[in-house]
This record gives sequence, C-alpha cells and structure tokens, in this order.
Amino acid sequence: MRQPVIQLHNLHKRFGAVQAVRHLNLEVFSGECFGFLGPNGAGKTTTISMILGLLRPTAGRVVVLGEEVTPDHTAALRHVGALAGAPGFYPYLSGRANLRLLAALYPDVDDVRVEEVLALVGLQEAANRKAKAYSTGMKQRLGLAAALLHRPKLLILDEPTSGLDPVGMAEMRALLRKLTEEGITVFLSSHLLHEVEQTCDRVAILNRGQLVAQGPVADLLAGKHDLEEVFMAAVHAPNPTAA
Amino acid sequence: MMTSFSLLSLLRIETRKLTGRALLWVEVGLLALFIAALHLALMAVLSQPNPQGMPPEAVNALQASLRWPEGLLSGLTFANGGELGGLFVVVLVAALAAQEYTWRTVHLWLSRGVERGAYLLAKFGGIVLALFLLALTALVVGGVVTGIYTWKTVGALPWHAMPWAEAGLGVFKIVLTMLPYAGLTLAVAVLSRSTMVAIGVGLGYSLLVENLAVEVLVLLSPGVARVARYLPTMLAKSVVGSISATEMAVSVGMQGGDAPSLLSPGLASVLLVGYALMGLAVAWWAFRRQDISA
Repeated sequence: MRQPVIQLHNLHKRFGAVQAVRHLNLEVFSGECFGFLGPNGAGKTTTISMILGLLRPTAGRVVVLGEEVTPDHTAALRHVGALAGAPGFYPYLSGRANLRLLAALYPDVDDVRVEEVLALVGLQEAANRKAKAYSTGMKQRLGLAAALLHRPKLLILDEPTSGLDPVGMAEMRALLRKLTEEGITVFLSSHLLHEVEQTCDRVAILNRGQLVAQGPVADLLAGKHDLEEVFMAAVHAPNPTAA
Repeated sequence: MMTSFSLLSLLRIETRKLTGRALLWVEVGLLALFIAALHLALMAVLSQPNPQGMPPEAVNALQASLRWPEGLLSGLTFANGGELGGLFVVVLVAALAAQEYTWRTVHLWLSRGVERGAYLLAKFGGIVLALFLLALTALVVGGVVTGIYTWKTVGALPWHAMPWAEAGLGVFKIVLTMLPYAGLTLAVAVLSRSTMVAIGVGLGYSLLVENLAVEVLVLLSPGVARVARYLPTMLAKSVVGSISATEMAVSVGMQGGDAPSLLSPGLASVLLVGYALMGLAVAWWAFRRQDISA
C-alpha cells in the first residue's frame, strides 16, 4: 500500500475578509508526481506556504511524511525540498557558496554533493558568479539545486519552469521524470498544463480556494481532448458554494 | 520522530553569512577610522602649548589616558553603545535581520524545517559575534594609536604594566553596552521586515530620544533625571565608567549639577542584558506569529 506523503485535512486560510483556501482535503502518495493546478489567485501558493510551515492555517491540518506541520513544528520539512515562488539567495555570495551555506545544515551533504547538483541543473560554469548577477532562469536552476541538495523524499515545486527557456523547460521535465523514477515524490504547481499532463500521474485543480477536480491524469482526460479542456471545464463549472 | 537542526550548525551558518558580508567589514573599517581620527585629534590638541585653556591637571590626566598602559583601553570608550558603537550596531543589525526578508532567504531556512526559535537565536548569536568584532576593533585600533603616541612621547612602551586582563574584560563590557541597541533593532526589523524602518527607528531612538529629548527633559525636571538613569545610554556610561582608563572621560562628560547620577556597573550590566533580552523576546513573539508567504 502506498504511503501518503502529504495529507491536507479540511485546510482553511483566511486573510482578513478573503478566504484564500477552504475545505481543502488532499492526499499525495509516495513516489508519484502530483500536479497542483489552478488559475492565478486560486490559492495554490497559499496552500504550498502552509505545507512548508510558512503560513499558519486558519483551520485544518497539514501532515507531511506522517508528522503534522505548523510554523511551530517543522521537523518533517527536513526531508522536503522546495522551490516555491522566486527563490531567495544571498546576492553577495556565489551560486556555489550559497549551496555550500545550505549544505552546512546537513552533516551528510558535502562539497561533492554540491557539485553534483550544480551539474544536474547545468550551473557548473556559472557557479562562481555572484547570485545577484544571475538571470531569472539561472536563479530558478539554483533554486532547484538547493531543493535537491539534501536528497529530499518530497519535492515541492511552484512554477519551476518560470523564467526558463524552451530548452530549460524540456530539461526540467526530463529531470522531474528521472526524480520520480528514483522514487522521489513530486508536488508540482504549474500553469503549463501541457507540462503537467506530460509529467504528472495525478492532478488536483483548485479554483477560488476550493478543490474543483482531482484524480489520475488518465481518468480526467477520458472523453477530453487534453488537460487544458479538463482545466477550463473545472474552473468554469458553477461554484457549488456560491450564492 | 524527526530531529531538528542543531543550534551550533545554525550559528556556524550565521557566522559564515556574517563574515561574507561587505557591510561588516565596511563598519569595522569605518569604526577603526573614526577611533584613529578622534585619538589623533585629541593628540593634536594636547600638542599645543596651552590646549584649549584646560587646567594643567586635566591636560596631564588626558595625556595619561592617551598613553600606555591606560591608553590601551581608550578606544573602547568611543565604541560603547551610547556613542558611536550604538549607531554602527543599529545599521548592522537592521541589515542582517531585515534583508533576510527582502532577499527571501528567511523562506529558504524555514521551509527546510529550521525552527523559528532556533533561527532567531542563531541570528542573535551571530549579531553578538559581530559586536565582539566591533569592540575588539576599537580596542586594537585605540591600542595601536596610543601605543605609537606613547613610544613617540615617552620613548618606551611599559609592557610590564599593561592591563591585558582589563582589556579583555573591557571588550566584554563594551559588547554589553551595545546589546540593547541590537535587541531593539532586531525587534523592529522583524516587526517591520524593512531595513530602512529598522535603521530609522534605531537611530531615531538613539539620537533623538536618548540624546536630545532626554537631555532637554533632564534640564526641566529632576524626576526625569532619575528615570533617565535607566536608559541604555546612561547604563552604558555606568559600565564604561568601570573601565579604568575611561573613568576620566565619563566624569568629564557627566559634569554638571543636572546630570543624572549613574547606577552601579553591576546593576547597569544586568539591566543592559535585560533590555537586549526584551528586544529578543519581542522579535521572537512577532516572528512566531508571522505569516511568510512563499
């Protein structure tokens, strides 16, 4: 039986009068690539922030690798790699120095591993340049390298191809496939439906903070032309809680 | 059960972040420059036949404080939290703490499972190390400049009479005087997530509230003078006064009937640490509740 790696139980998040996420129940299982879709403002980044212990849920629970995660209790995140939003780095340090700084957190991550992930994301040649001189695409690659550095069991990626050129996007897709083949669970949030369709096993679609569709990609595609059609139908369906 | 990251490894990371920053070394350089310049200005005044109409005993005392053995400790005076040191601390701490938000690097650590309390404690530990570096710089630069002055005016250096232990203790005492400004700035940096706001509030408090407003109010009311003794700048004066070579400088600065009397150095030290812990507690309270969106 597959183990759940992420469990969201009736998750809510309210910012003042805005209900960003409501009644969100979700399970992501070990070894799968899970696509997390939704239009802008649907609540994807808010959900990811709660999974990463950055935001405190208004109600509900987040369980990662069997342990509850809150901003006060984040031990489970030690085995999680994340590339969420624009990746942050120390601009006065080189890409390599940034990774070495992060590596200092883990006794089992050494300089060899730093070089490995730099090669994996194709940043070896630019590794000695200061992070502030990196292009958006290079920062994204460095962010992915940082997320993979400690060999995480779960990889959470929010728009990982943002800023990448078509070659970079293709490389990212290939890398994600390789990672899932290696048994790493991937939670992928993206606007690129074609990318998700090609990469993910299951998807969930969020709209206005609510889950509007969920299931294996093959099942959702039944009778539909592509994932874009599934997506459009899901987000334009009448909201059951409206009115 | 998953384990958490060790505080020691976080402290090591903070130290690496700190030493990699140009700002720290610019501040060290500027402090060194200021201290050297202030000493040279005092030495230039004393080299005149009748310096500023000062009484001979005052001239002699000032000369002694600029010569070894006492001169070794003279740089520390200027680095105390109530003087130049406070300003340097405010700018440094504001940048170290608030820029983690603007660079989004705070996300980097928290989303890896670094506990918020451990992160903040390590950050404060790194800041304290930076304060030690600033205080040590003041000691070394003051020591070198006064050493050269001693050698040029006396012709020899009194190595046998040097207060080395007192110098070590003096560095520690100067760090104590800087701590409340570090605590205040850290709290404002976390609350506002803005370097400029943290610098503005820190400098505003140090320059306007402590130096200007309090000095004016002290002249108006003896009650204010009693309360003013508990402000970090007055506590710093008390602690600095316990460093032997600086006693004269403090007493000269404290002359005048309306000046508030100082608390004992021991009590002042405890209160200085208390202020710093208060700032740290506010920062921790705010940081724990903070929503940090990815």
